[in-house]
Amino acid sequence: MSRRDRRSRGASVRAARPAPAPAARAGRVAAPGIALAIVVAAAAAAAWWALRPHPSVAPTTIVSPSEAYRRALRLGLDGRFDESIPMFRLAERAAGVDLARLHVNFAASLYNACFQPRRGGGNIPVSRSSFERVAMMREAIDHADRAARYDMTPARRVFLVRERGEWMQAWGFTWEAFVQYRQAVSADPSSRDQAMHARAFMTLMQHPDRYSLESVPLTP
Amino acid sequence: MLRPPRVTTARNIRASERGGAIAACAAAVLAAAGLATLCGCGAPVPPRAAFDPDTIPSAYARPSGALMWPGASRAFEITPAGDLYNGDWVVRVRPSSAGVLAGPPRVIASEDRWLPVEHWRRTSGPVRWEFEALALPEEAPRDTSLIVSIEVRATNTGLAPSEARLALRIGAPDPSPPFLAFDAPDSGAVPLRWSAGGTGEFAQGWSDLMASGDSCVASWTLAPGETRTARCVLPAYAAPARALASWARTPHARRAEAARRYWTGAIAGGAGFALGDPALEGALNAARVVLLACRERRGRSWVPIGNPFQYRDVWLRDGARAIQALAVCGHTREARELAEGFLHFQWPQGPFLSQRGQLDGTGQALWAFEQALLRPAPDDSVARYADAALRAIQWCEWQRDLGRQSGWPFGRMMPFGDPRDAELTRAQLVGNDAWMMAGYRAASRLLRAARRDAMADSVDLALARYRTDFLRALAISRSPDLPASWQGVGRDWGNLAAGWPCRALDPGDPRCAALARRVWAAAGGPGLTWYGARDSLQYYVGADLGTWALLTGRRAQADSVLDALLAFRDANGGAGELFTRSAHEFGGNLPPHATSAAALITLVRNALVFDDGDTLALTLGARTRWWTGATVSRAPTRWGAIDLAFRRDAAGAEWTWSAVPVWTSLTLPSGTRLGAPPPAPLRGCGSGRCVLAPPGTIMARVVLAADASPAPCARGPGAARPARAPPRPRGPRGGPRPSRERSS
Repeated sequence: MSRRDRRSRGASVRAARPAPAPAARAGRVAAPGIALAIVVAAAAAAAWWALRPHPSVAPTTIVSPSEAYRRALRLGLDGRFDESIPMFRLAERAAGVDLARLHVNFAASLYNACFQPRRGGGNIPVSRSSFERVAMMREAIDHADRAARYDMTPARRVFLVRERGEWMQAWGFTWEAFVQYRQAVSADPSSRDQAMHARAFMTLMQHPDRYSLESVPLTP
Repeated sequence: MLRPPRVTTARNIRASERGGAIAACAAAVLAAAGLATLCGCGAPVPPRAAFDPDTIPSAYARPSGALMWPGASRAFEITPAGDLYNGDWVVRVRPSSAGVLAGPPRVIASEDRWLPVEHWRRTSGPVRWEFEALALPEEAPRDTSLIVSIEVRATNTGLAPSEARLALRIGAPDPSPPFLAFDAPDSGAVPLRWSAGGTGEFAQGWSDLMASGDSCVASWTLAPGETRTARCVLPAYAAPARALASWARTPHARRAEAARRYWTGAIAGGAGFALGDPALEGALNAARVVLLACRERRGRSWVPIGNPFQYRDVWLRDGARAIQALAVCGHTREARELAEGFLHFQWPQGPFLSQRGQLDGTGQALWAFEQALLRPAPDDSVARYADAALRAIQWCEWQRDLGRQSGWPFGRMMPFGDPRDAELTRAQLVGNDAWMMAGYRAASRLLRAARRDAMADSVDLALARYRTDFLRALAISRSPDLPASWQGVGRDWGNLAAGWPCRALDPGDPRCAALARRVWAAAGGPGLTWYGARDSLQYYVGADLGTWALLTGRRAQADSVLDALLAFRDANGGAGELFTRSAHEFGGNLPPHATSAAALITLVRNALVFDDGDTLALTLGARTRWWTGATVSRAPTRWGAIDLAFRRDAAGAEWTWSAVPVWTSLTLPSGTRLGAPPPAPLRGCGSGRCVLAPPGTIMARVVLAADASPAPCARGPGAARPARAPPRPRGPRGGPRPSRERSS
């Protein structure tokens, strides 16, 4: 469904909803005739409400948490991060899933949604504004924190730390990125890749105008 | 057959709509209630005399207009072609006479060059087409949309009967529109149509013309002097036909009156400026309209946006300026609401950031908090902001500590950033440090207001260390002034704010003067500065140098900057961001820009009332015209809201103002000095161009004499013409497109 369809539908449902009844004034007793009229009107309103055509609920929107998780991952793989987010929210209640992995994936989807362009919209982001993007990043960081509380293999922990570093770098938090990259080195001292990456970033911090991260000389 | 046109739409309710009479009555009651709310104080607004919009000056080569409303998430642009576009669909307006299509409007003007009821004219043969349009909010429960009411009047100015045809067509925008609404559909699958009857079907417009699908049209034969009127209503979002018809039952004139009342009331809610300078007062009003309209809702919060069209996003750097400008001109509630919205931009580790790589956001957010929350008196919620500020300062100190450990030459400065905008380089930006220091000072003030003096003292100490490091870094940089970045690369941007408002250096520091000299010399003199290319003028980035000039006694330069800000505005009173010097062409960077509006307000306010130090400074840059008798009322300062009146006569100058608990500095009119020692308890300044009044003083009068000595640092004889005199060029349309990259 297009965004327009969603909005129009929401608006039409809202417009068709009966207005809330005004609150009765305290201490005032209605005449029996008026009371009867109110009962009849209420019954008619109830009948109308029950018989009116309700907007159909697409069966695809009713999914189990585990199915939601599968869909979230699939949407993420398709680059449809914005659409994966509500699925991840449903999936948080899934039983028997690897919660550490779920939080990592959820965080990654939130991060990626910040930079996701609109389909057919050139460089226009799919998110409305920086307000929403910062909110998504705050939530992404929260999920990354939650993931880090679980036991995980050293390789996965290194991945998570490095990932966070890259998020921070992308947003311009240079020192935070540096610290994460150094932590990745500490967590996996044998990794030449982590060490080189951290060193390259340090060189970039010293000479930001001279190199890009890709062009930093990596001679030991 | 075409339906005959209607002169007054409200008297011609279609038969098909009469079935909904009860609903219409209810809608009318709601509308009346809405109008009553809009009217605010209910003060009568005098009827507007008809005016020729083509007589209103505009600095730009092409006309443009904005139909906008506070809280609405879309706005309509009145395009240079005379169409209306909201980022989703365009209403193409094609008036013609005897087969001759009317030309585009020459000018699109607000009433009194500020009140956003827009007027423009088009002409086809003997037929003059006059357009009047305004925006109002949609009625509850839709609170993020607006509706535009347009009235079109066709008048035969010839001596013989003439055909007149008006065709309106709703369609998709051109392939490369200047902006797109964030929530516009991805495809053109949604039907675009005028409403037909009082149905529940969604439509993009209502008109009293004969409508069919996406078009509506009227054809008239006008006798000499005859006028026919048409009306249409355009919602920012598609709405049910019956709702549009109901809204349209209120005549256009009443809708226009409601808009006038709302905006007049909104402006009256802030500080009052009666300077005997109607053009400048109108400019202030126009700027306030832009700032008030460039706000969006997010749940219960409000956020400032950069512009109603292409900058419908939040930048801390632009929003902070908007908040400050609203705060200093008395729109305290709005400024504080926007400041609250900024709290959502604080990251878990403490900094504030809205766009990737724009590390000046932390200092700007803290500065905006302080500007909004401490005038005219600390807000009850100040402790919350003090906490947020402290977390931000702790984050910065953590960084500076890591930088100290690195031993790098600029390690103690903010790390590198790539703002994709502004300085347009990847480097350690001087402006980031300048703004961070402004943030430290703001945090200290917020903490003191929250009665956490010990913590404020600690922040002051940290600021002193930061300033020492800043000076050391400047020395290492070998720059004679303040470079854009510590690495020496990038365009001037944040460094221009170092003297004021950041006060990273004392405004009297020679480096500030050297920076102003360099930037102004490149631009041809004090006024607007250029960005990227010499032909690309930037409206607001150099405006801080105007206040810096005031603070250092360079009144002529400050006045020159103000002249430029006043000159480069359109017929609505708003200003763009970037435009060419040669052709005055803004390209796709449509006015009005909120930061441009803020720059104008801030400079004028500082010229009258300046309270950023420990002394209240009045009439720092009051213009000669203002001295014939001016008043400023309800101006918020750090020492309460004050009223100020000042005037000059043959014998001397006189000020009356509300008592404040600090010393007040009174600057004499330009070209004068003290003609006699000031009466006690006043004291003369060393320069003889100002007097000091002790706390509690409410009135002062001094004798003046002509001042023959030159003002400091007047413009050198060799300086080129500054960018401040804009006769509108009549060159070919569609000049070069100014570019300023902005992220996201």
